[in-house]
Amino acid sequence: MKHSDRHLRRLDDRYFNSRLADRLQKRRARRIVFILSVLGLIAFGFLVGFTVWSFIAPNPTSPLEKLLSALFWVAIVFVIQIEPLLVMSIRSAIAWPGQPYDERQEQLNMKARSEVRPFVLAMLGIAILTGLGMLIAMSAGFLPFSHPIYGGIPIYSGMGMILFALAKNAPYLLLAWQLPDEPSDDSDLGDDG
Amino acid sequence: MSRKELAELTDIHPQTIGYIERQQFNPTIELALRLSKALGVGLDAIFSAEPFDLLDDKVLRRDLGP
Repeated sequence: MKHSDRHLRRLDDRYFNSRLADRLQKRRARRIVFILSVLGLIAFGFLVGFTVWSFIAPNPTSPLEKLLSALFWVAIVFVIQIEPLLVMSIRSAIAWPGQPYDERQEQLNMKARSEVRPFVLAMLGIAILTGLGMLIAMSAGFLPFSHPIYGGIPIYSGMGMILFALAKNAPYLLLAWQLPDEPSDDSDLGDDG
Repeated sequence: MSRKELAELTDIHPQTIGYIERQQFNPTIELALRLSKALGVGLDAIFSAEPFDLLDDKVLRRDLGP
């Protein structure tokens, strides 16, 4: 995941003004964030599938209502704000604007990336092969667009989004799962600990 | 010297100092030398293959004699 400096600075402020800061330094809390993140990504995929379906399904609602219903679901995901929690939970392992990015962080990131590479390749492979299979099935007439599931497009959109999101976030998710407990005094606020 | 000051002197993340102290991260020799220089002590004063004696033990030995 690549974040803008502005987004990270905002998270940085939020981290230090949050009562969650100490809790997120504990492995148990990070693992809860991991589980929430995976569930959130899956939910997001389902909502994308639903959104695609709501646009192509013939129903009596107006396009504006369809758009609003789609935005409503997307808004729910943003309200849950799982992604900032994930980023804040691995604060000690990633690069933050205006702060040094040292060999420990580099080592952690490289290790995480190399460990998730097979998983990422598998996720992307499944997504691409399933997409190709779907296209072949549609063009061969096995999966007609007139079918109630519209050639599987909504399902594939949702599943594809889940697979891509998991692949994209995999290094951060692994870091959230693996990082050890950090003492609450181990902040960068200038303590003498 | 605080962790933050030491981190600034050595250009590393302050939390990395905590990781090194807790033996959750082994620095490269280059970083170890930077830390040694910043602290103004020899490398063997801050890193050792054997565990360091606790300060209490040293004081007790000094007070009680050999």
